[in-house]
Amino acid sequence: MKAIDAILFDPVGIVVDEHGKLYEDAAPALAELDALGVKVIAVTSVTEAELRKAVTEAALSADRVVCLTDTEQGLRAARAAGVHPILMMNDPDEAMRLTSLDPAGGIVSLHELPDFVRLIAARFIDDKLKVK
Amino acid sequence: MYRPTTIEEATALLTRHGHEAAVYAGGTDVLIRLKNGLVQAPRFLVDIKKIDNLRYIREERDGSIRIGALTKLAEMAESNLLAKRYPMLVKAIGMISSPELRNASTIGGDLLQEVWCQYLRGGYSCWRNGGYLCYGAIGDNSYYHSAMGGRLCYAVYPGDAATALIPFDATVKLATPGGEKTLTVEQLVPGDMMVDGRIQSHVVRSNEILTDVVIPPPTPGLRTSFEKLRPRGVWDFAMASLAMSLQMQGDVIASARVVFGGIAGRPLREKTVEGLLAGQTLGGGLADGVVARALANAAPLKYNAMKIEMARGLLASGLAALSA
Repeated sequence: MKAIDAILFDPVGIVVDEHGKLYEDAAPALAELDALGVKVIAVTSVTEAELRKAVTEAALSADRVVCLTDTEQGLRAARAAGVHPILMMNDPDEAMRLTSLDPAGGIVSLHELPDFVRLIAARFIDDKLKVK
Repeated sequence: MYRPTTIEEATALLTRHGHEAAVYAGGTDVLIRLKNGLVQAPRFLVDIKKIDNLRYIREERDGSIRIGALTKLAEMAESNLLAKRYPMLVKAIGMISSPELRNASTIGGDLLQEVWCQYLRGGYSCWRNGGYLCYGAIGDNSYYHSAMGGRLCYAVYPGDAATALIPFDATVKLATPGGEKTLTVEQLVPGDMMVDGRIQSHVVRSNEILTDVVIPPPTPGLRTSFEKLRPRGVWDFAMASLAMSLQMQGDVIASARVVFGGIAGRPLREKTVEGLLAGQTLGGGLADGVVARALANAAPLKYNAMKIEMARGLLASGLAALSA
């Protein structure tokens, strides 16, 4: 990963619960991502077709897009669509099992997403420029 | 391996190599990272042991004590000057690891050591090792991981020296290419930070060198305590530790410093408890009301909720010890 221009996700289970109620860490994280210039795009389901459609419609470069998911199906779909699968580690044991699918990264809480974006950018800049 | 003889030479070498170089002193941390072949291990070592005047414990004119960064932990533990002025610090230093490692480890290295998460040290591709995931957050987090939340990495800051120095309002000096920098120990280890593109527990940049620790003179009426829980009596890091200072005015606590170690990504000042203690009379049922309200924002992971109970227990026993 060089940088993150956009984040794709199915809102249910990631930013809202099954009743549509926003998780408490969602609003601050989304606001911070907006301030960082990162597009946040909801998809109706995390399938290869939906992810490809979202990338195309937003005129994004797939290698600068991540898909946030907490399922095996989501990880596989993201890989197939050419975007980076990021594991939302809601359940520790299930998340540990899913690491065997080699996700590009993982977060415990949405509040970590802005730091995730910043760290990737910092690492890329450092690798390219060897900033001192 | 470089062996500079001046601080200026050392910082120039570190500037030249950036992340690929690291300071080498006691070696009890960096050599293990090299041996384990971690991605984040350095390619070049800048051995600073040939630099004069970094290994001493001395009293300054203003009554403060200055400790060179290359001073061995064993030398601190055996220092009569420190024992007389700061017995709590000496107790804490004497409980670090084992006698053999205290003979090798330096105070600078203890303050700036890398975390000891078994996933990092085991070479997992985690946040600190070039990857993008914290295995400690989802794996066995019973020992080396935070019970107070995290920020990408959930490893605890392992150093006891910082925990014990903060109640004394100690400071450190850093040699940098731009000149000397002074930080409080609390500022030095604020928890996971992105420094030059890396996650680390301290704010020291890759071309800066910690040179001195300065401890202000203790004030009359200062009572201090240090407590630590660990699986075995030697070697092990703290499951939970507590360094506490109470500035007494008669029987009344004028101010307090309450610093927990081993439970968060930094030495954790419990300012709520500090506020509760201020103005109270030491003894009686003081601990009962305070302990129940300590660490209210704990966020334990799946396997480490007991750390919070341990920490609260240390607070109760620490207050009991200081009341005696």
